[in-house]
Amino acid sequence: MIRTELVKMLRRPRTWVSLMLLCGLPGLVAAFLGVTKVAPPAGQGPAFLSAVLSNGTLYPAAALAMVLPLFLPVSVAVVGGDSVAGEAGSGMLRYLLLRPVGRTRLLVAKLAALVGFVLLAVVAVTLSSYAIGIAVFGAKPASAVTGASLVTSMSGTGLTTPQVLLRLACAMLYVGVSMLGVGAIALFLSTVTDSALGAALGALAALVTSQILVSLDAAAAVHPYLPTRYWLAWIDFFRAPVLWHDIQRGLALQAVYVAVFLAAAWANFATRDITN
Amino acid sequence: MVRRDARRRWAVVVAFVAALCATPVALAAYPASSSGRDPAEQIQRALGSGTRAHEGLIEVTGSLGLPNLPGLDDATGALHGTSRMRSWYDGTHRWRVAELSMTGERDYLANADGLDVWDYERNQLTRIAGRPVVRLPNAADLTPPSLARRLLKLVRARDKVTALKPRRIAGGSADGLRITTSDQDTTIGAVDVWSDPSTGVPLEVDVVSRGAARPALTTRFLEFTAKRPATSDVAPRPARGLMRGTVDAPDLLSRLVTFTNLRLPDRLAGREAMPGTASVASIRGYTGGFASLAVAPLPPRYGQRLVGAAQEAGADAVPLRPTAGRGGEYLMLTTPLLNAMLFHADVGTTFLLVGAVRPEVLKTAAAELAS
Repeated sequence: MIRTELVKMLRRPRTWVSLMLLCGLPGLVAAFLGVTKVAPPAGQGPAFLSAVLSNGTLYPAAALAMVLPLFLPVSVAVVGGDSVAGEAGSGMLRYLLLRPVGRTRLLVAKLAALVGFVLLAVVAVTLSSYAIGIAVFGAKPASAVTGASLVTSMSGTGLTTPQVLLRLACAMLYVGVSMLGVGAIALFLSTVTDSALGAALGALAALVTSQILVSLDAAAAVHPYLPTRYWLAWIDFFRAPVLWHDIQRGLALQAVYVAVFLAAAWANFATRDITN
Repeated sequence: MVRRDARRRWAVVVAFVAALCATPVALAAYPASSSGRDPAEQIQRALGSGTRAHEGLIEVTGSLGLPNLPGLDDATGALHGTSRMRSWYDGTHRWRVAELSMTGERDYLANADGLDVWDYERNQLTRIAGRPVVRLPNAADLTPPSLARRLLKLVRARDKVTALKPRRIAGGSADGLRITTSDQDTTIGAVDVWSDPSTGVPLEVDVVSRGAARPALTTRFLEFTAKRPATSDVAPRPARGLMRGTVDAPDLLSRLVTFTNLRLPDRLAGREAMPGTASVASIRGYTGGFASLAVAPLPPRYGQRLVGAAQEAGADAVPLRPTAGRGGEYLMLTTPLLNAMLFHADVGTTFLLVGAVRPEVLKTAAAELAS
């Protein structure tokens, strides 16, 4: 059943349009940067964007920083919100459940398809931006850095090519895991309503609320529990030594969100009357 | 049957969520143990902890709300909002403090030869030649051990020192003490210091302004390990070929020393000037325990920029006319903890006066400078 849902996800044109849009934004930014050579001033703009002018190897990190705040969560919320509500809205849910499969298994399969989409999205953004970065900015060591080092870490130490690639892979996976909480919220809402759009908007409303509270000092007491609190912790992979504090908490928090909202989706969906 | 099933499933989910929510509450309620040391002993151990190696992650939270002043942003930035630092400490002259941001990192790396500053966003490694006699505060001054030792040195016999209940900080128990200031001239009402019982290293410092219930400035370890940091962490090898530079004066204050030659008085507002060299007599600190203040005459053009920035921040120019002698006009920037005054004397010099003191103290000092 998981395979069926994954194939269904891959066959949908919407999946590929979403991926093209996700990969298109870094491509557009690279085109402007490559032509103008004007990087954001220090401390402004997405992380790593000013560093990529001298070496394109880090461009996937800058691309992740670009799509993470809005584009990626929106696409994940749309896919998650469509999981069950989309089937109900199109009248397919009743027929789907006529197959000899349990509702819990169907939910797990929908979650697996969502995880598949998230992984596909972050891999597509990383690989496409790596190719774009190398093509537009080159892969020679920065003029200031010599020897075996390819780029400079945030702490001023040199990073070799294998170290850069390993950290990029870790950052990519971390960003992917960070999206699972949003997906789980959207999946739960998808079992509550028959409107895929309503479920996606509900998940986005939760995210916007979280983003606002994260930026509010008065809400500091709840910051560690907000789904977006540790989203940017992947940047800590590029410090020397790697700062694990927020990365560990981010992974644990996403696991909790997935567990809670998957459980809520199970509780709601397993005994829900399917009228459509 | 279906409804009963639904209720049972939701009951499982609610119990699961309740258990998850209760976990942090239970962890926070885990009791802290006390070492039984009295506050005086805690102070001695904290002051003597400068040789204790340690490393950790630090969070600084400030609510001072100072406006952006040109040239002073780096010194005042951490005093408002929440910021994070990493610290690797292996002795007075061998440490590293990394100021973290979402787009980069600034590292202060001290060694026997001096201080190196790495700024990722400017892609620049700067060596500070020698040890400047005066400088602006930086992130390294806001680590709990550094700030605590600086504040504990200001404690006077008439300040009230009491023990606080131990609390858990960075996963371990910490002994606490409170210093309640007695000098009515200072804006600091109390300073709370929590220290590691085994090493005496301060783990958290809360500075509470007079009359306030919540700290205006808090610095605390989120992670703390009392061990000698690895050489690769405390003194990482910079990437070869980085852009490097060397400066004698790391910040605005130390640069001002070379631009001004006005000698400030040895006594101001009832406070003695801190011992300094003749070369920096133009920028002086006046010691009065917690009610200390610093004074710097500013170059005319820079003074005008600061006045403009202060006016943009809403400060009004107010005439200062002492009963005898010459006067001037001033702009006062007030926060719950730190007050700053820009005083333009009739003789044409602009002074910056700053300290954790009441505005009246700064006015008194300005009047004496004018005359």
